[in-house]
Amino acid sequence: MNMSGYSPQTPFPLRLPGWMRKLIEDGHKSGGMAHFIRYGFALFCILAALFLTMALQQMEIGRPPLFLFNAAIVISAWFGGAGPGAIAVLLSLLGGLYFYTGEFDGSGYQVNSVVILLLLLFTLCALAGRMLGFWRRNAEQALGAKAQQLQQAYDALRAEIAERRRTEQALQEARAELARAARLTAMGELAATIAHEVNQPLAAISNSAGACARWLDADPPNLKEARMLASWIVRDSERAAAVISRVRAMVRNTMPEKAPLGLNRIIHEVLDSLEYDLRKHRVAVALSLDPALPRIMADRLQLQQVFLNIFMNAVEAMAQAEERRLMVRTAATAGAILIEVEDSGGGFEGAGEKLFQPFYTTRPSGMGLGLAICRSIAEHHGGTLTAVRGVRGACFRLTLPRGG
Amino acid sequence: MSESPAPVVYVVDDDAAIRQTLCSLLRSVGLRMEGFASTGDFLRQADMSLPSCLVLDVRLPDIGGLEFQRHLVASDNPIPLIFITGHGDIPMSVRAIKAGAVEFLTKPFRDQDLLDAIQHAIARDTARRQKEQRVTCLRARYETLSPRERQVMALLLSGQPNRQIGQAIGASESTVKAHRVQVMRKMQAGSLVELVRMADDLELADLAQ
Repeated sequence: MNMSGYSPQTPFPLRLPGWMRKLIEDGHKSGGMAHFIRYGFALFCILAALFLTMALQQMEIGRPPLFLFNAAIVISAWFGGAGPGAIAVLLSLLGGLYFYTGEFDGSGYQVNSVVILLLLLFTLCALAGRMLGFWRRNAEQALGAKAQQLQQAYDALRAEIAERRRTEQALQEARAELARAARLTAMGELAATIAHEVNQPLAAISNSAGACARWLDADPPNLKEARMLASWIVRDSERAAAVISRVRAMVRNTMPEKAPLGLNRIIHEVLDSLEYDLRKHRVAVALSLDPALPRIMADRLQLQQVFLNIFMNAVEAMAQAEERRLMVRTAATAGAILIEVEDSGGGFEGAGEKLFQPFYTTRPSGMGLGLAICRSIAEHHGGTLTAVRGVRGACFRLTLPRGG
Repeated sequence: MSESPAPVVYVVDDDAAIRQTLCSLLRSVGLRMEGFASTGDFLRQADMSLPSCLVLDVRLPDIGGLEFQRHLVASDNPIPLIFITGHGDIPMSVRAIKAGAVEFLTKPFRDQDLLDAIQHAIARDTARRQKEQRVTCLRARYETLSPRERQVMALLLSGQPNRQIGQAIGASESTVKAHRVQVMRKMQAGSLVELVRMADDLELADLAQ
């Protein structure tokens, strides 16, 4: 029997009990033990048929039936193969003769015809059993091949899905990196522009002051020149002040474009955009967002900026911490919406108010403007932004008026 | 420096207040300054025959200061540069100094730092001009030598006595002596050592050409 391409894990088309399946598999093998089992099984079937038929005969229900022998032959030929089938036919013939020759006792002619009839009948049964066996095996093989094809297709698909997932992840990481770079560049550009704009008049003032001192030290002192330089100092300091107020106006004058917003969604958006940083710093995010939070009138970009700033501060505060946990809670109170962002970064020393002073920073490269800007945004929305000490770190509390 | 023409400080900065205040500062120490709003104006209007230096802002409207420095180097303009910038970083200053800048100052700078840098730059430019002038003068003198005299001068410089020179060029010792006197007179050299130094300068100039 050619059983190549037939793997043990291939599912059987018919759900046979385990022992039977085992038997069939053994039957197709050519080992001494397997033969013994196959022939033993055939013998067992015929003996079972014999005893059952004898039992039926005892019940006096007329002529003893042959169907049990027929069934035994079919089963033997089916599961055992050609050899056991032939043995079953011979044994059944003996059995049949035992039951039927009694009736036609003494007539050789009748015995002969009974033998021929029974032989014919039983052989047909054995052939049918063989046919069934072949049909089943062919079907199984075809199915096995199909199953294998399916398995291959499935494996290929899985590999493709894994590949796609990897690509997607790489893409996402690249995108996050790009967004971060863009954020940093934009801030760096702004800082450089402001620095240049302020340094220009400062350099002029410094030049004027130096020159003024030299003219006054001259012998005789050139008061006219000194006076002119002093007036330039006044002019250039006004110019520096104008730069500062222009920057302030720039921050202030970007009047919030208010639209009805769901804060939970904004929090999700910002967290999504920070996914890469959160993953990189292994920060666990615990959200406790009130699903029934009412929508408020607010500027999407400005609020995103506030959350981005607070979240990034938290991530950086937790860089040295053992446990890195960012908790975000939202809740609606009678007049306002409360958003709390708590980290496990050990918190801050001294008063929380200090954090919001412009140019206060704990980072060597920071400008110290982030939280100051966040607070002014909160105030432009009619809300507040404060910092308190949480359980394991800092807790930033943002309130925004309902319908504000 | 007193006999050479008065040096001038060129300033290229798009900020009028910077130019104005620098002008007064430089005048207070007796330096002449000319300011330009762009490098284009500087190239068109500046007099390159005067001992000078250029104070250059890094951030300029047309081309950046560092870019302009590259342009000057490429066009063999040796004017010493002093950079001033509102937002300098270390890589930028390293690049500028490596390309030959005298100083890189971040605004606002101490007036004394700028004045020191300017003095240094002008001294460098003046020295370069004096050397250039000396070499042109020496070349003019050398041009007046006859081929024979140049031959004798070359052998003199290699340290050979008159007799050997005579053997080398196939002339008597007294003829060599006469040539030698001519070389010393035409080159205006007081001693052999002075002649060697002149040849050194000339050879350097020859290599440069």
